[in-house]
Amino acid sequence: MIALQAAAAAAVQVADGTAHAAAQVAPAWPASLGSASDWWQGMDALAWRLTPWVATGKIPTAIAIIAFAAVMFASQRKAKRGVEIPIRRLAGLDALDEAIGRATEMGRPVLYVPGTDEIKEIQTIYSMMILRHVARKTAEYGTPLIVPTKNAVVMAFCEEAVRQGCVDAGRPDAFIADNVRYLSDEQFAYCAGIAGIMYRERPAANIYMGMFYAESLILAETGFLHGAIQVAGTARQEQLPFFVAACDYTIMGEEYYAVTAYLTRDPSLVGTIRAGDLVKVAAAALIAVGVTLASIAGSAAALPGTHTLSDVYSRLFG
Amino acid sequence: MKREIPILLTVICGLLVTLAYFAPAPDPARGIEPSAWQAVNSELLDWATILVAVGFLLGIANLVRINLKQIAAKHPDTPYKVVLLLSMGLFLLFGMAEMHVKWLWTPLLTHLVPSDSIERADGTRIEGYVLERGDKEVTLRTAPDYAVTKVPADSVKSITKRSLKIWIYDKFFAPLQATMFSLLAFYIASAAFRAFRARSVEATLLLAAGAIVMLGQVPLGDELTFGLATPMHAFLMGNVVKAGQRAIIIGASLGVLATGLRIVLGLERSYLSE
Amino acid sequence: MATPRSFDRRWIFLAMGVVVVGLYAAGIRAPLPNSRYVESFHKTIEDLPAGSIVLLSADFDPASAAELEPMYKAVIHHLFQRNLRIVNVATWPAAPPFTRDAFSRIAPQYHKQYGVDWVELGFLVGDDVALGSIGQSLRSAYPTDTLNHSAYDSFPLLRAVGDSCQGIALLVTISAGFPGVLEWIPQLGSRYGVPIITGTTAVQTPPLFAYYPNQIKGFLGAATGATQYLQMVAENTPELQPTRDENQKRMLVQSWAHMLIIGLIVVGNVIYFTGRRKAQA
Repeated sequence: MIALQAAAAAAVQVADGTAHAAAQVAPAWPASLGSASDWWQGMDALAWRLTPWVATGKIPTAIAIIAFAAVMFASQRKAKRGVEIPIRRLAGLDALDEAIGRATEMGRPVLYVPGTDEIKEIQTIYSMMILRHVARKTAEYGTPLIVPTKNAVVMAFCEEAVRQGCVDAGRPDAFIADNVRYLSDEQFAYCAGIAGIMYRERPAANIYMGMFYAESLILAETGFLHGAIQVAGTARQEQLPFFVAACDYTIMGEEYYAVTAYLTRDPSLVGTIRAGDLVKVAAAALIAVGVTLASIAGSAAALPGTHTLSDVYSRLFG
Repeated sequence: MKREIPILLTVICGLLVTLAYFAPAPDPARGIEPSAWQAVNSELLDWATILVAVGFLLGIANLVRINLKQIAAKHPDTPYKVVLLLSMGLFLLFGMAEMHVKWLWTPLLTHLVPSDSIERADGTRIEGYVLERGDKEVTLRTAPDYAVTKVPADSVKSITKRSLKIWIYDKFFAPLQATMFSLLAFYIASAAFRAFRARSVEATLLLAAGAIVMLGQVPLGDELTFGLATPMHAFLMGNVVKAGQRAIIIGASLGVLATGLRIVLGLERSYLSE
Repeated sequence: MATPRSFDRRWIFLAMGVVVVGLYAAGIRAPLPNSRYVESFHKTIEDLPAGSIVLLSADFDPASAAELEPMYKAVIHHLFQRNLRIVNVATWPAAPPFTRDAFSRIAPQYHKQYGVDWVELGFLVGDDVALGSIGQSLRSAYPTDTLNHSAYDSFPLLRAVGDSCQGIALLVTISAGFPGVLEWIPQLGSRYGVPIITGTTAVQTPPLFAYYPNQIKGFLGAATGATQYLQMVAENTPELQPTRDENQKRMLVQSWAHMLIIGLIVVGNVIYFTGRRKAQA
């Protein structure tokens, strides 16, 4: 029903948009494209005529997304063809194995905290992938794995990730449902619950992977007080300083997104990381161009022959 | 089909919402009406809001299920779990009773919901439950039968509303939350003592920057540094931090964009445990 | 000599407790000079024409109320003094008690009429989905208000808002985390071009420098920003002067807490380097 209404509304909009546009004064097309001002006039005329169909101010965003998607697909194809794309060593990930090994030697469990946000948060999705890897390792070594969650839906995903990890290790019997625990939706109640687990069950390794907020320092400091080895990973930049201060290893910012590619070496993921890096280089180049244009525009009166560049800057960036 | 249907739903909804972003904004001056894309987007957002709300119910059900199971198994923390379930149940009961004052059966109403104090224009006070206060009339339920009645607005001088839900919030929830948050002050002091070492050039720079920011944030900093703390803080935050933050935001946003594109196009299936 | 690992942290906790409680009890005030970000925040509100509609979002809870509630109340005073109309929403479930308390005390002082000068719409579930709903259509997001449960269109103020935030001149968000200002920026600021100013906790302040002055026109960073803003607004607002004085007292407490932390860092480094020299000897 909604689709029919939407289609009808779109059809009405086509007819009405055309009629109303004709009633307004549209900018004229330029006679030629010989000068910069002709180009600007042409772009204004095109933008005015496109406005009933698309938000013209967002066209650069659309172009950027399409360009990024193209680079991403090209990189993924390259990776799937078997071309080696190196990812630099992430010390925090290697520390994961060390932490799990230490917990096994001490006969104490591993605590994995998948962040405090919901499953719709991308960092939580990535945390599930890392959890599966950790679950596989702990199942191989026979080490208990405790996973407290803040959200019931995330708990279901965690259960599935741990179960799959145990299956990957060939030890489906190692999955203990009671070790994946939903504590509370309330931030500090969840934090207090995890602190309680640390006090009572004394895990030897604490792994924090996902989106964290104010509870990050409380968790990390409580874990340190109990002598656990701690590995943290988040892309939430406000919490990074607390993890860096209190944890043994920290995976920071976009390294966190590279983690799954590093762990699985999946060509699709590796290609995505490469695409992100290429776009960052392009963004840096664009920033350099923008800074140059802004500097020229700021000193246009002093530098001869720079008026066109100043005009370009003003048109692009107001 | 078990796999294909969720992927199809994700792709369709993701593409619809993405395309709606590029729909033109309404412009009455040019006769551009709100587009169909926006109507579809609005509908999907309403559905998403409902799903999130249902998630709360799922959370409550899970909380009860897990804790009851552990109480039955005589878990060592049974007393805490009993307190958890009791407090959740009572708050839910009082809160829902207050939301439905208009319909609630009178014996339950008088026992679960504290009455409001209503001062009349003639100076007398009565106890009752105010349902709605408009410009012309006030709707309420009062003794003896607690039927819904309306009185002229000018006959009511003032209303003091009482709420058990808010009382629990003010006396328990707010202080407990504030207490947990205040732990951060102590923990940052102990983390600073333990972890901030000038082990290398980078660590020393980090320390120095942290000290400058801490001094610049407070009035005492300027007094101790001959007025240098504030301008140094402003320079650091307005230039160095700004540049670093923008770089981190761009990097993290590209990661989010990549994953978002993969999910919307059906390439990322980790949410299906694949 | 005790090493950092063997040192009993409870002495540090005790020192912090003594500094905070002792100085707070002393009650000495410490005024601050205003920063340009706070002045931009103030100016953005001052520059709005009377009668403009401001969307005020309470995105905090009791944990951060010590930092944010004073600035929230100061903003309401400032907006009413400028005869601006307020549509109040909340994206955190624990925020509504603060908003109701604030408006019930402040609105009568300016003889502001509910429904005409301000409306309380309450908490909307959904985090950033809720923000998207609000931006797309406030009517669709909130069919009724939260105080009287009256229909959206029964309020003259809400009828003036329109879809896609057409009628909203400014968004003021008092934000403690997620969802907050960093989510409002893409959902309302970039998408619909609504100017944004914000007040945030200390930990959320550093990222805001990256968004100033384009996406965010001004901000109040932590208790420092709150104190500076209170100093500006309380000049014309006797009711806010006790809050301003209280915040200035807290700034002194915060000053010495910072000094304690710097002192602990210095002591920790002395212990570290002394221990290292001994080990090398």
